[in-house]
Amino acid sequence: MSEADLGRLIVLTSRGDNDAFSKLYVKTGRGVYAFLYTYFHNKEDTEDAMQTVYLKIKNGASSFTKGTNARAWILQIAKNHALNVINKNKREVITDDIRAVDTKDNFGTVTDAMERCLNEEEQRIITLHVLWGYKHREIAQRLDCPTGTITSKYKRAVEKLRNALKEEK
Amino acid sequence: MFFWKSKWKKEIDSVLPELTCVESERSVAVSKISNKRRPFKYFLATAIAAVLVLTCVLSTSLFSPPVQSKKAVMVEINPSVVFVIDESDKVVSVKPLNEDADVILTESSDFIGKDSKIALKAYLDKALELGYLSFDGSAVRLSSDSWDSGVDAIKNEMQNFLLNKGARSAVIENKVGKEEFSTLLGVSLSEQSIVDSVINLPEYFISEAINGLSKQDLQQKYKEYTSQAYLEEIKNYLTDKLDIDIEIPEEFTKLKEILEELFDNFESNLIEQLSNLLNELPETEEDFILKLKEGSVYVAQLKKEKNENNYKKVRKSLTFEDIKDLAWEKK
Repeated sequence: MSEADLGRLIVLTSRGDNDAFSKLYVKTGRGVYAFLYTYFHNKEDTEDAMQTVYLKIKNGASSFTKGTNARAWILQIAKNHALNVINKNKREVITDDIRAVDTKDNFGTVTDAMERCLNEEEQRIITLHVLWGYKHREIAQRLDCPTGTITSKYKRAVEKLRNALKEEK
Repeated sequence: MFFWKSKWKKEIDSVLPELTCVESERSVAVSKISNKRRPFKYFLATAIAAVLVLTCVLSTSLFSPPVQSKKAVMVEINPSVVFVIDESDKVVSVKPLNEDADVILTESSDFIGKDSKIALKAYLDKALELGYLSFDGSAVRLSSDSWDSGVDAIKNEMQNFLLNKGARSAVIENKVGKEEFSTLLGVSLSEQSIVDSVINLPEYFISEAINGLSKQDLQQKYKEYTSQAYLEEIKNYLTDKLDIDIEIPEEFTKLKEILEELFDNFESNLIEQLSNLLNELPETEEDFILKLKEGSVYVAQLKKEKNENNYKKVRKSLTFEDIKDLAWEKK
């Protein structure tokens, strides 16, 4: 779905159109979930965050300016909420260390492998590229670093992920 | 593992939660594909709940006196709309019968579940706000094939509401038979009841007209509709509100240039959004509807702006109770 279409759904949501809001969720839910998961690393907190983030999207839709970047607007809400929750819970915030996988989750092969072998930044780069359709150049702008860095980080992350999945086999 | 991307997407889809922040009164088609196994206690709890619900439903239907079935009432100003009301006088469905009604309904999506008298007053209020209903003698026709004391009460409430607002408009009652009513509504009188036919009407008036069109025809239809509706709206806005009489060029981009010199704020932004909509042709029926819905939002905003002064005058005449009753005042 294009930026314009997402923007359109947000505008309609701001007018109380629940169908548009449902469509917005169908189109973006997967990406938001994966993005939030890179902060919380467990299903429970991610699901809670999903509810709040979409409530914020629904209630704040009128503040969205048509023609601006709809994906970025949604991701900013998700990111702000994730950081607020993490700060509130006094949990450990973003680090580059690879986190221990919460074995209770048993999310699925790929997600578990990502959790096991990639750090948060690598997970986010993959999420933004694969699920949100961001180009490496756009991710570089978001993360304020050279495009080449993102490209190499992405390649390295995918390689690590593939190896991890092969080992599992 | 060469297909990790698609596998990953499926994994996430399987755990996507259902949103609870959408009002239950409008069904929400949030897709949820869940493969996870539920514990036994989940099934037990579900089974107990189902038995309880079934018991309640059966006891209600067996031991309660028969209730009056749903009825449809049609409101015609220029926008025409039909409300379906249930036995407890709650609105269960609202369907537009022309493009103008689409604009009103896009502006006000919270009629469902409201008391019919409040919903109808809210509809009139929105029509006044958008300038569809003038304050100096336009008529509102209320039609139904199931006219009873409930519809009488609605009619009286609507009439009093208009009087309170200072709008000298009459609500005309139109008691009709089934055949005439179905003709008015544009639904066929078949085995299906009128109420069911109304409930099955599309949420957006134009949906039926574009059903099954090829991409080329779809885009042609879109061009015709938008250039006619939006250009007319902008022209009306300029002449009525701003007293500017300019020749509207065929291309919106040229119009934008002219308008940017005239004003650089709200109006030009709205008109710019409309022009963007005109230039982006839809690829699918869904896209077509989405674009028109958005267009209706901007058209409604322009109408509101245009009618602002008129509306403010009568708004003052509202009582506190009226204001409190209006559906959108409760937001």
